[in-house]
Amino acid sequence: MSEGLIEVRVASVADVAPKIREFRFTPVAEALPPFSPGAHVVVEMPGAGKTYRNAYSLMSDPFNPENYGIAVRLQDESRGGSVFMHTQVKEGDVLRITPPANLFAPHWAAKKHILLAGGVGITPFMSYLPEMQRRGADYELHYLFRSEQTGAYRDELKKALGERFFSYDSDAGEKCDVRALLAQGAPGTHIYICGPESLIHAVKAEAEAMGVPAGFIHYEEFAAPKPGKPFTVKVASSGQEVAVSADDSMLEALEAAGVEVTNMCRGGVCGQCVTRVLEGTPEHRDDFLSAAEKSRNDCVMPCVSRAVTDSLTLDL
Amino acid sequence: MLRVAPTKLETFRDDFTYSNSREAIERFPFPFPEDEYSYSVNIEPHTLPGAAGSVNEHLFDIDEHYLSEMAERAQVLKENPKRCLAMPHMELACWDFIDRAMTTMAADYPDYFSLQKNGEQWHWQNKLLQLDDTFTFGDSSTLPCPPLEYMGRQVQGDIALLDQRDGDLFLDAGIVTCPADWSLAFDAGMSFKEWHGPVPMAHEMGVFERALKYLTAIPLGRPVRRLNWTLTVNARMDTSPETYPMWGVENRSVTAENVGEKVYLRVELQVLDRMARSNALMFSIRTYLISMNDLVTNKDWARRMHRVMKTLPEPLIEYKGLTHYHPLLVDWLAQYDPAN
Amino acid sequence: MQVEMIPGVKSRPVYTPVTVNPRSQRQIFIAQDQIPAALQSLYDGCEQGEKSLLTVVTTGAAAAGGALSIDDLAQRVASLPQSSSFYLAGSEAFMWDIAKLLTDAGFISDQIAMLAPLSKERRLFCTHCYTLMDHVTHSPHVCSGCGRALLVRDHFSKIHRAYVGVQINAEDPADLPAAAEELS
Repeated sequence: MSEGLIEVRVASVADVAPKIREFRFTPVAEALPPFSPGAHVVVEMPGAGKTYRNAYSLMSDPFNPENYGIAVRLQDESRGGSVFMHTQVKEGDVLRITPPANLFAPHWAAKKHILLAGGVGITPFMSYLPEMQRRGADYELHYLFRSEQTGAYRDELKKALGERFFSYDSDAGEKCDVRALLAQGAPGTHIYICGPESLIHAVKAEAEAMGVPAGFIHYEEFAAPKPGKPFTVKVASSGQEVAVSADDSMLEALEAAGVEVTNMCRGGVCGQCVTRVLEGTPEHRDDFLSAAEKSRNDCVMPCVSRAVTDSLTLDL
Repeated sequence: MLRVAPTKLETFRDDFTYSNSREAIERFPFPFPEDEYSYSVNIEPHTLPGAAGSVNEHLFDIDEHYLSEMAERAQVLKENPKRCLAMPHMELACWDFIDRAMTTMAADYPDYFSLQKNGEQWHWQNKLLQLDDTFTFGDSSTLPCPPLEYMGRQVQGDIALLDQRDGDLFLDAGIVTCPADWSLAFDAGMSFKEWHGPVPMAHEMGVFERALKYLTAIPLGRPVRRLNWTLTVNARMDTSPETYPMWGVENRSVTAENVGEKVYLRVELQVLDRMARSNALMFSIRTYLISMNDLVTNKDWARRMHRVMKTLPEPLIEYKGLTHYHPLLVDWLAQYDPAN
Repeated sequence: MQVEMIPGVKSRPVYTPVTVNPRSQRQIFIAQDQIPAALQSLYDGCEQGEKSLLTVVTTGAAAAGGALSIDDLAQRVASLPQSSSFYLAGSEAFMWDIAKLLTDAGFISDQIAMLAPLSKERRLFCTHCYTLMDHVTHSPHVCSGCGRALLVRDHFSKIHRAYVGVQINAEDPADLPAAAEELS
């Protein structure tokens, strides 16, 4: 995991909403590479006694970024990552990040793009917009937020996007009619959602009920690993036993014990960390394996999933 | 600094004056890791720089055949401009390729190439081809020809740019003038599974799904490589389906007497590299040719070549188009195998 | 990564049994020239959504009795909602031509279902001169562009909506196959 990491300096820290803090990173050595709209990096956060790794969407103009911007929402049920970013990280600090990777790229063949952001889910669209403008693409941004907590960048977005910008402040009682939004979709309209699980599920359910094929709906949700009951992971090749505490993910516990597992998004989406299960029953929490694969219980995604049984033997 | 300096123009057609120097033979990427033939696609990290002087040292390997291969490419494109194509949505990927090629080539071969960036104004010099161009990065109207063709005429090996969408890869752009019998014009736009259709590999068993999962996750700046191989009669770079009527007859020209000079081992160094702005994958296919006469100057290669050819399964002999001369080759190679 | 080998695998579209998507608001059934029984019965059995049964003329004869030209169809689909499904019947080349028209209009492949092709005719792409030929029933087939005898391979392109053809006797031009075989 440490291979190929980029060292960056925290050039600025700014509060952009009551619960959202923006960090701008500049390179320590070589220039930061350009990236593609919707890309993310994983930020390594060396906490006391535990290293956190969270994925954050990049917010700069991806074509030739002078810096990388991320925005971090202080999570109510934080396992430490967002608390670390909000309380420990200061201007001038040096952090390590992965190179950009992309699981949420725009479909450029679309005739129209509808971007649906919920709260801090605005972040990937911050890199979509410059490229959409460069290409002269047809798009709309629908921004759902609670002004008492989120709603970062809404004034500058309104100014920059004009009639393409729609905002819904639920703290002011404003609601987005998802059904009406979907109903206006002509063929070739693709919908992108980034936001809380509830928003993604609501749009998906509405689309399904309306007969809008799933291929038009794209979403990104990095499910931060949620806590669960502690269990033990057995590494088949070495016989090593690794305890997974209630707050750690299986992947984090394995990494802390020096066991390498290929991974990318750390949020149950990309499928890179999928590992064979030799004994025990996993508790699947990912968004990658199909229902059939989950029911076989012969593989697991250690980044977010846990164990039903007291121990899980992995083919590592 | 180049280990192998570019030489005079050689031909890959008609009189076939192509030849390898001692240095080129020594650095030839011999592809067989074992005596027994086994079909496996071992993809490994293409960590740069690779071993000094090897074909893996740099992202784009420039060698003594540079001028000859560029002249051959120009000839193929003159005869058939459709050997290079880029769908409109691939424009950004084409510029990514220009960025990656120019930036690395200027750093890796400063004697031959130089690049100065002044914001979006780029100044590129290719001293081997005597090019000196200034253009606006990202603005195709400032180049003398479309971006993929412009840079593709300056790198050895074929280039394909694969668009990544819906968890799949699509062959949506390329400059392909030295393929091992596949047609860019026909395969254009195909998904990963579709363009591998005729390859005798597993469509079942989730092999393609696993391969796709791996390839779509290749991170920025972490290219991977594999070697592919076939045999070619004569040092012909352009063994395309388009020109098959021209070269097909040569497959019958091999005799027991001329195997050593007629039959070439054709090795493709295939590299997959993530493009930064477009999230496309660059698939570069750098082809190396070595005659059997040159190959057997290395005793280990000669012995192993015999054993691998002898154990080659029938479906692959047919798929690779070796049917007519494979037995002759095995017989000829036997003299270099002490086990016989 | 390891890739194992299984010989004999080809790339050819596979046509599986078609069922109606009950959630679509618009159900569009499209036939080439005449409505085959299979499409008619699928149409008759469709009870959800607003349904239309269209015929598209491809034989060159003037459009009669409500049949559409390809251009008419392109106009018609442009005003359809996103929640539409399409069920196609006709020759293989016809169905893929319509599929291309639909994807160009912004629909995606998940919305397009094809019945088994009504004939064994194929469209052929000559890999030597890039000529496209319709109504190919035998292999080898003499290219109408360059005159070469082409082996028809099971390798299909959705962009060209055609199979690839390569010269069958390039290695020995004197070796002309005695008889062409009927394609399956």
